[in-house]
Amino acid sequence: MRRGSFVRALLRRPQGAAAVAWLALVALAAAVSRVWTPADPFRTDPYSAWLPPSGAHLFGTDAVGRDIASYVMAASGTTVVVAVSAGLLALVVGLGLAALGSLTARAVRESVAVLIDVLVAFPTILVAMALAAAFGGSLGVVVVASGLGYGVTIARVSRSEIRRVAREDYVTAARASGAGTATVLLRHVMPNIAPVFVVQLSLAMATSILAEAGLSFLGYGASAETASWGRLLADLQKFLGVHPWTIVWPGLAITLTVLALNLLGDAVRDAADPRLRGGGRRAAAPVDPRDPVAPTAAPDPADSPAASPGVTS
Amino acid sequence: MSLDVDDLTVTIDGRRVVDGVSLHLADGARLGLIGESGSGKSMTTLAVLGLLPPQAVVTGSIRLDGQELVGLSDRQLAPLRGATIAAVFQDPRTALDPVMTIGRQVAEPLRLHGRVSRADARRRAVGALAEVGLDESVADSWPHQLSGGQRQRAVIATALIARPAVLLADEPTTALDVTTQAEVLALFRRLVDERGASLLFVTHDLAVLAQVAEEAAVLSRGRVVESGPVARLLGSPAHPVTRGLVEATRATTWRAP
Repeated sequence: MRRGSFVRALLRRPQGAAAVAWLALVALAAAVSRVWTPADPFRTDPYSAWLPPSGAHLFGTDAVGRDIASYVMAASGTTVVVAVSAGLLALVVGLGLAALGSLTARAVRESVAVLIDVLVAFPTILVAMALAAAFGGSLGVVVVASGLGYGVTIARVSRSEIRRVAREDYVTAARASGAGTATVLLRHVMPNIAPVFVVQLSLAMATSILAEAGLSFLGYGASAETASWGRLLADLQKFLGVHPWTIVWPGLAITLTVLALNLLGDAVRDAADPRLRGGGRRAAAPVDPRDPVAPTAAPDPADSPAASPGVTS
Repeated sequence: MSLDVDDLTVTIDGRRVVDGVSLHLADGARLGLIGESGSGKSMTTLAVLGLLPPQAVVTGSIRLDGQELVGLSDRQLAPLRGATIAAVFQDPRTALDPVMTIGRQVAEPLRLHGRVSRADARRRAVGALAEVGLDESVADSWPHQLSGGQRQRAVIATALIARPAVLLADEPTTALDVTTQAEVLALFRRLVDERGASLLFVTHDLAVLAQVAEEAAVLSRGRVVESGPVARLLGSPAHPVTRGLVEATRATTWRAP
């Protein structure tokens, strides 16, 4: 597939365009926050606690006078790092296990399948909490737990997809054309499982963001020196009765980012599949009139309702 | 090129799906292989290509111009497939990769076997499509945009693009309606004649077979039960299975051979 047409198809969908725009904004905020934020996100100032949003404090300030906008911006960096590294880990684990579970000798492949089924049964968040209890809470624990946890889910879904596609007639046809195993995998199997894979990967990244926010909220995730949307949510929810609007900012950031990732996954899947990309059946790709086999230049009659059915020549 | 199958037996999970089949396809000849579903026709084709499921056990011999194919590894067979022996399968709805454009699929055997540039491959794919009566715009279409007949033409273009010496056709017209079937058969006959390729044509339909092959072998439960000129098989079938196939043909679309 040509890359240009895929990107165009992706951005033509409103969900795709909105998701790409929001994620680009988050990534930009994350990158800029490394060198600049409106104020120091960790500087407390008791004299300016609970200021409402203003030019100086775009999202207002919290109980200890921190600038919420700067903190949310700095925390987007944490989110991007967590989502990308957990996604990469899930990708490697998922593809690795899926390949082992579908392309190897029967004994190996069946044992790996059982192993995957067992691993899927482990609840990701609980594993993360157990790891945090054992090794102390950190972003590393969050990344490892959600990356492994979702990697196994990806492996499970991709494994059955690989096995389904490997049995398709077009794979047999490609092999009959002389394609070796590697070629079949790269040119036919991967492109056909990619849509499912991308949806799973976007879910994995969204889940890891939720896991980081949830674990940081509970105190198992980001340390106090690391800005995190979940931590901010935890700090602010203590004052929910008095200053309910402040919680909107981290809450909105988490919700929109997770939503954008889910929408992006769906939009990428739709854009990658030529059958869903719009542009239906060709009206008529006429048979070459010079072809002695087809004496008339009529369109192929196979699906034309005008052709009288069942006429033998 | 000639293809000689001698005492071919295929066992899958303890079941003999092909049981001592011998066939002789002379250079440039057209041989029919006919039988009911489950008689081992497709398994014979797949055995020639070396594309049987991994648990299949193959004994006997398959020789391509004297070269033994049974026992060759996948890696040794791959250079032959698509270049020397090509195949057209039954169902054009599933034989094309849904996420690859027609042009790239038709050119795939070229890209796999020779060092051809992308532009060159495309040019030859357009040429191959023209030969089966499809215009250039089809090259940029996706499989779902074509009708069944157009798809099977594209599949035939793929099989013939690298000019194979032996063509295996496994029920290539079964999934098509009768009108399209006649067109595709005529196309087949013309292209095989033009190229001088040897053709092994697998079908369950004697009426179809009569249009493409002179000689045929009748397969039942993995064994060859009768063989000879198609006209004789149609006119005076000896074996009950052949008689059954002839009656079935008469009952539906009988035409003089």
